Amino acid sequence: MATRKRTLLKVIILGDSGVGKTSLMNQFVNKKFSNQYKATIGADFLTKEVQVEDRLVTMQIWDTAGQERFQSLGVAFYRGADCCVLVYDVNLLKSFESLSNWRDEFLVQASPSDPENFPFMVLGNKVDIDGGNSRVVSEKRAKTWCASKGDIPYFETSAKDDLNVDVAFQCIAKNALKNETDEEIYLPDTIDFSSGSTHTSSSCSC
Amino acid sequence: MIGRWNSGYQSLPVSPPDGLEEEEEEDPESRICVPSSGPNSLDKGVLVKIVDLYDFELEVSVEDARSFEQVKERVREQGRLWWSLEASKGVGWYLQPEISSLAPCTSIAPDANHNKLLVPITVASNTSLLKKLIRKGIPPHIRPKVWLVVSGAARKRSTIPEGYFQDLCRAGEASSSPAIKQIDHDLARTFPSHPWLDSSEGQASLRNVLVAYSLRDAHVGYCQGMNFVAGLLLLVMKREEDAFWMLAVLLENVLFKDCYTTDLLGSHVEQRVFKDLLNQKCPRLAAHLELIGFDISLVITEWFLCLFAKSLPSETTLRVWDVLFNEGAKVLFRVALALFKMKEEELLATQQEVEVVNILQTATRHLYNPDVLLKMAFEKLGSMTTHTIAKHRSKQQVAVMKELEARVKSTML
Repeated sequence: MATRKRTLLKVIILGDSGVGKTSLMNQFVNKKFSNQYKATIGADFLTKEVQVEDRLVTMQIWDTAGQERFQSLGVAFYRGADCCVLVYDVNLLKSFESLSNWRDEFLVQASPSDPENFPFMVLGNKVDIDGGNSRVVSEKRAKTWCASKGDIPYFETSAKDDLNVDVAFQCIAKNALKNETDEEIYLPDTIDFSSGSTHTSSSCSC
Repeated sequence: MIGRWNSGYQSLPVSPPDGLEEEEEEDPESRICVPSSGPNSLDKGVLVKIVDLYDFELEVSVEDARSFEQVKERVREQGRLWWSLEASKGVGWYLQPEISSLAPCTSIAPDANHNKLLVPITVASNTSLLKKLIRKGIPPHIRPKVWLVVSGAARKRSTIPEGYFQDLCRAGEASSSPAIKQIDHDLARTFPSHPWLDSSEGQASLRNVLVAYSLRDAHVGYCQGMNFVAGLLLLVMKREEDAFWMLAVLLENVLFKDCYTTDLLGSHVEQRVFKDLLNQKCPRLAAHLELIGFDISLVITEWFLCLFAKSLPSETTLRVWDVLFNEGAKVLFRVALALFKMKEEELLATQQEVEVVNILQTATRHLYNPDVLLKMAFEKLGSMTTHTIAKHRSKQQVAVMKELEARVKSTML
């Protein structure tokens, strides 16, 4: 019988400056929205425990600086990531156009073992602004892009109104765990007495 | 305010160096105005509102509020000391550019070597006295004057025609650039808890300083982090133009070159030099962090790019800046090392990177007493010569440039 396992997931949030990365993270973890966040320099993180099916998962969410020049610092921040959330502002075309660049940078610097199947997620944030009248990137366009990059799951969110935030992060956790199970699919699940160490599902590479 | 305290102060030490070395002996509890009425056992978890010396509105624990009161008292004491020295040594004795500790070794003093040979004894002793005094803190009301002189900002400004800053501001109003867009984006995200910086007036001032600088140096333009530095500079200097020149002298003379450019080259170099120094000064800790896979860039990026403004309480940051402007960029290494050193035992017990970040973030946020930090930084870390740092820098610069080139190539592929 499978025992309940405690798992740590490292989630990286990327996207242009000001698209709402810090706000999304805070809405998900602290259930709060504020206009008073300071610009993120370097990186910051929050953790939250979530239940995914029978597993208790600690999500460690890393928030990063959005200005392009900070990409060169990525190596330290992206290391050991289990999934990557790409965020853009539906009211700003440039932030959508940057998604490719953020994704490529992540893959180059984090160099995950299986880049084709690495779990990404795209969030189109700030759908609340102006009742949706100022949006410039349509849902269809965003979904088309996601489909072209290997069917990345897509959610439209509002960190301010707490729209889809929980659902999106739950989905991230689920996909990251699924990805992990896929990797370990050939490991027999029942033999936990034969070797001294139980196999853990932690993503630690060492 | 300071004047009122002066009149009541009788037992001022006659000899300044003794006075400087004199440690606080009296029981600090005896002269604190405790903001809570409850007994100590109830203090835990109680938050009190305070307004700090630079008008930041904070909610802090009773314990932190106490440290803050002690700091205020120390600042008053320093005010009295500087005032008495002014009485004995002459008004503005500290405002001679040649007594800055930075002056003999920076490019702002091209004839420094020549001068050095002819330094009169009074200048040398004033230099050493000023250095000691500054390490104990510059009183807030004379900070702007002292900073402008010791950093070389005043000299830098004196070579430029009047109206230069105003011209840049005017040019900024009419132009648009990616730098200016990013600045506009960050204005409301720079110390939103400060009433003035959160006002339209404060943000207009911050915009002027940052936009003017972005036009002065297109190679830098604007880098996030500069907003926090410029914001705090404005709170100290009060005048936009003075804050602008302080920012200019920082980026162009005080700090290592190219820290804020588009590839952050200088910042990469400084971070790697810091890693070397941590290996040297705290080998056990450096080995432990390596073992648990912690990359110290995760914490020091913010420290170095914001010069601690986003991490430490305002007066503590400014005490670091006092020394930074007088002694140069190596001060940042000392302070960062001190922060690691102060938490060494706790850090040695960590297993995960988040624990490390948590410990250091909590420690910096509560560091209301600057003397604890500066004592560690300047008295407990051993020597760290400019020559050693220069050697580390040139070694690391080569390594960083290779890495950045490799990164550009792999991104293009």
